[in-house]
Amino acid sequence: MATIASELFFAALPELNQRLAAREFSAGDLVRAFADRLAQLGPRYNALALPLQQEAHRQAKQVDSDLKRGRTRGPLQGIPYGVQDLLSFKGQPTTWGARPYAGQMFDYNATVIEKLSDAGAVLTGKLAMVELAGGGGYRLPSASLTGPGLNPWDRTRWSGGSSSGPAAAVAAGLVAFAIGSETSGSMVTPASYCGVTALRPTYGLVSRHGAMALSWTLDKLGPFARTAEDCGNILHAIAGGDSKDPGSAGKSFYYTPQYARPLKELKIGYAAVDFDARAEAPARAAFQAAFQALKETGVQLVEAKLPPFPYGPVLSTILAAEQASIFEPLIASGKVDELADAAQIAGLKAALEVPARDYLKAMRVRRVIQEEFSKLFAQVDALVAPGRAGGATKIDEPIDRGAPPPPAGTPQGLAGLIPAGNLAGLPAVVLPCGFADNLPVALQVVGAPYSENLLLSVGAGFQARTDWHKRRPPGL
Amino acid sequence: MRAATVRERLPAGHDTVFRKYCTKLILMKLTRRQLAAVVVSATAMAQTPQTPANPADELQAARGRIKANGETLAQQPVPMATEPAFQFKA
Repeated sequence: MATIASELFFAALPELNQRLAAREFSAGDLVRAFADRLAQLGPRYNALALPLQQEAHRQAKQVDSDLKRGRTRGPLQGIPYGVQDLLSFKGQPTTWGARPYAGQMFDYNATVIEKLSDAGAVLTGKLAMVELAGGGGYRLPSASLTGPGLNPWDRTRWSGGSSSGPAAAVAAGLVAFAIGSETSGSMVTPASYCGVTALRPTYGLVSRHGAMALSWTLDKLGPFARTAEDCGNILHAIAGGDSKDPGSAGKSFYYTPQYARPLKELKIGYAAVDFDARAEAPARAAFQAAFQALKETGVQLVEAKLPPFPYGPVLSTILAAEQASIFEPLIASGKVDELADAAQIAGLKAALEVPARDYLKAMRVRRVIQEEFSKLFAQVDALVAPGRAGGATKIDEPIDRGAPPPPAGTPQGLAGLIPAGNLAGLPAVVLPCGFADNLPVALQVVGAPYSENLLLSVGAGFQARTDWHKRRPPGL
Repeated sequence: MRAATVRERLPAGHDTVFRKYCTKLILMKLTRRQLAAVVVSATAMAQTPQTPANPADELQAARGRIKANGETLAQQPVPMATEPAFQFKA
């Protein structure tokens, strides 16, 4: 049995592929090392929902058998990964991070898990999440069956949510990659706080069959990984039409970095205020250095503005109405009161009262928002802004109060890009870009629907000139 | 026998649903180490202090947010011909 060197827990897919191909170790060795590490260190960050060591060992044996016979399945073959506990895995608990669903089991696998299995990736565990992916609106990071997500960079800080486990597990080197979800900010926030790369795909590109529904028209699944290139390879495996998901766009994704447009041809919109007055003071230097590094990739950076819409209220109304319908049985049964967060319980109950008039109006405004973004992306290829305005918040800090407002008269910049991008179903890549008070901060690059290859090329260009994505949390 | 021993070691003060979850994990024949990992994670929630809140006040505040969102939406002009952004396929 080969020993896995500690740096390999933080290696990107090409390095793991190369060493597997060179038979420095077997898939069984790699999976065993990662699965043991996840079981051992996952609880330290409240990142683990369910270890799957036995299943992983079985699958790894099959991968080794395939490799011996020359059956290669691509860059994910033999790679250990985790999924947020909102994805069903046959015969195992799928808790959705919430006490009322603690004993829930499904007799089928989520499509994403099936696709990754076909690609030879090995599931080593289910990862923690905010209960019901934050449905109802939570106040405290402790809103989870597994406790507050603790940040591997500083355990007194939050790992972000709702995909708390996937982001923390990748950051701590417990899995080579992970699958999480985003309805509005659930990937961008934890990726930014934990300093890992993530890709939120275009709405409909990745099947959500087998995933907990929070909002039919907003939910998306995507990868957390080491690099933009890794995200491209994972999306290549998990994207594609699925008749079992009514929201599926029926489109495939082929990761084709070889056909990427030269970066100097790309026009990227930004707002200077986002990197200055709208950023938290300790993070400004990092954001400005990152902006400079992005400029050095050759992309053309041009000032841009978001179309003026009340993105927050539009998104909140749609989300409230859809989640209330989805969780109506939970609310009606009274079991909603078993949730950990009082604000969330109240939010779900109140959501039952969203008038149809408001929901329809929000969905009509959403249509106009999509049209306006279409016009914006005729002028720029992508938009860039900080993922979050600063580093991770404290573990006991209420998160529903929001950041302190900037001084009066501060321009709007691209504030609201998270709800805006989710309302328009836009893809985004999150790129670690530095530190503020020893906590990671990141950029988000958002593009037109189905522009994932373009966003990934920007990400790869940025990561070729920086090493923030290679940094490891202290002691790991 | 093994399952019973592990069950006895579950933290006290957990409600029925939580104990059912743990029991299911036990029935899945997890090793003690795997079980410990999950139980330690799950107990963290019970150990985390919650901000005391009056449920009635919370509900009123949540209703207030929904009302405020509706008022904001009412002020947003939308062309009469604009259809909602649904994806319905017949």
